[in-house]
Amino acid sequence: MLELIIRRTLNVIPICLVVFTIVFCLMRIAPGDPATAMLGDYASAEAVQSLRQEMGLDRPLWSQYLDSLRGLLHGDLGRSLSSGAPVSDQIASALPETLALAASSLAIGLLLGVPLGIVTAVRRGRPVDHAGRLFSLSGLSIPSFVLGILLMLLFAIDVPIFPAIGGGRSGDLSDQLLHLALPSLTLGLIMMAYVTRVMRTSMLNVLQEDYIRTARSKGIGELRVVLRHALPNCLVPLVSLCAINVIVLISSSVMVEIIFSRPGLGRLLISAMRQRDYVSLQSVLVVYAGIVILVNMTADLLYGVVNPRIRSR
Amino acid sequence: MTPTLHEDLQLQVRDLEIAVVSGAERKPVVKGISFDIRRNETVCLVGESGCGKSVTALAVMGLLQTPPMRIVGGEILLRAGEEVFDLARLDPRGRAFRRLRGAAVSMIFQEPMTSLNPVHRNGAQIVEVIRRHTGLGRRAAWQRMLEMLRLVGIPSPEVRARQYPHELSGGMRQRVMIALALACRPGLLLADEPTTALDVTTQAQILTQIRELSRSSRTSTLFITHDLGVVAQIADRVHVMYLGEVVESGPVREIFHRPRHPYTRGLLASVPSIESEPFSRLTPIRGTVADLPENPAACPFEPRCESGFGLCRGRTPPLFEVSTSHRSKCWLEQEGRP
Ligand SMILES: Nc1ncnc2c1ncn2[C@@H]1O[C@H](COP(=O)(O)OP(=O)(O)O)[C@@H](O)[C@H]1O
Ligand code: SF4
Ligand SMILES: [Mg+2]
Repeated sequence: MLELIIRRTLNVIPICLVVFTIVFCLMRIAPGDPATAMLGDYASAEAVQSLRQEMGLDRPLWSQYLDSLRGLLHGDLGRSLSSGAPVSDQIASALPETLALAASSLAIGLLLGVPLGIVTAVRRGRPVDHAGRLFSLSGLSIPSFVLGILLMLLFAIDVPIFPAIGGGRSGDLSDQLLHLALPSLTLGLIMMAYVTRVMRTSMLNVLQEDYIRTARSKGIGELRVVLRHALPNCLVPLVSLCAINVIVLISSSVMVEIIFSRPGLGRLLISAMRQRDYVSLQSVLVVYAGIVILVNMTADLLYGVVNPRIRSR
Repeated sequence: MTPTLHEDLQLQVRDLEIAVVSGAERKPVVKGISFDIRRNETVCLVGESGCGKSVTALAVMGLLQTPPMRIVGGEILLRAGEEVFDLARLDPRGRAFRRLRGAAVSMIFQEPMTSLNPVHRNGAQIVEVIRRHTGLGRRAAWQRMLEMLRLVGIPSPEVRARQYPHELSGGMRQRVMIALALACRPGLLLADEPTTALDVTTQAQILTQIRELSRSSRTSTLFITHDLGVVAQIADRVHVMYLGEVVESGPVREIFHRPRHPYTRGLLASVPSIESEPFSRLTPIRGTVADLPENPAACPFEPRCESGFGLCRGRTPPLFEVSTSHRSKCWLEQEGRP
């Protein structure tokens, strides 16, 4: 097990390098450059040229690439082209915000979605089932920014329970949690819709299995049949769903962070993009790639935990 | 009114009717069958695929898939200790039925590969039923489970108990199922084609195992099969089913040596026996199970019957008594006929 984890972790490095290379190339191909972005369209050609020189953008591409790569390998992500702040500091302050958002949304999605999925499957065709399915269908069809704005209107403006924007005062945990409420509810409800649907489908399938009939033949109660015999068998599809959806979640978090003005990775990403801040941008994207890879790795390990057939291999 | 059951009997099924109900439509799959099982007796239910054998056993277990299946008539009288229950009238989801299921009556299923829960250890699956019905503690139940695994011939039970079903062969899994079914010493065991999915050698071992265990634990057995070779090895009495009806019943010797119903004769002619001439032809029954007579009032076997005559096309035969223990549902038995 441990060996597996170590091997998988080492795998992350080459993948991140590939991502870095692709991002590096794409950014140079894309139109616009940081000097123009900073000085504006009306700056003189000489001014742009001297700023480019100052930023090191006039050097040959391969030397820029090797420099950045060397920095990356030494853990030095360079300085932001637009603000001059060290990129690693920017990421260090933004990453926890994004991770907190993703984790709490995932938790909301699972805590609400799993029970709802079970109930709608067990009460298939009854009113609860229809209501639950309508609910998850709406969750699947509503874009995150619409839901985010709706929740903001409802719970921050009409009934001002939660703050509308910002990440909360740093160091004040309860304030930060209050600020987390609406963004994580936005993503959490969408996550819940996915979880409910997958849970319902796999529960319906599992309840048809022969071993469920065996469980019933022991004379145990239906609740135990569902929770102890059926539920563990539904976890494999649930883990793959979560792995896929955490990735969706991370990408929708960009949108949600913009709407709620949370100082997370998403905002960093967007502003770096606007400024053509190559240095920040490539690091943020590598971090995103790292998260996605880690999530997949965790899912692979979880498969083994929930499925004895994989564990023994 | 509490149901009564003759003291020799473990189970009595009377006029049991089961239908697949969808909307207003009702497709009968078991059409008023009656049979009984005495104490410590092994009774075989024989018939081609789809004739309603599994459905009958599942009805006794209260495990019919409802909807669409439903018991629409008849009685299923089961002895459990001093008491007698009419299972056809008991709510299958209710507490009373759950107390019987796994304790007074239990079932071995046809599919050993899929009948055990893949995420639970083999031992735990048996311990669960023991603890559910006996009130034994964790440790005592574990010991009882090991003893059951030993009884069904599983080598190194301590190791096997801690493994998962996928680590066992089909034969071993079916042994675990047998141990599970017999763990609470039920009065009645329903074995639904328990060896059909296994290879021939394993089949023979499992068969011996079931026979010996049910004898020694004084369990009555309803053994379902479509294989007459199995019937000859295991049965005391036989009920032959055709399209949801029992068409012939009798002691195993009578059925093999003096079969009366044309369907039973057909079944016997279509299997090789040790006495049949080498290279002699087997005679399959003509037609297929799906062939139904045009007239619903006719004998259901009429389209495939070699001995049919005028009366058969007009009216369904009743169950005629051939001898005190032997019955056949065929007009050939009517007084004054050859
Ligand atoms: N869950 C079900 N839904 C609808 N029809 C069923 C179901 N189970 C069995 N049947 C029908 O009942 C009949 C008897 O099936 P079964 O008892 O399984 O036959 P067998 O004698 O081979 O065990 C078949 O015609 C089958 O199509
Ligand atoms: S009643 Fe007639 S058709 Fe039916 S089995 Fe007997 S002989 Fe054949
Ligand atoms: Mg069957």
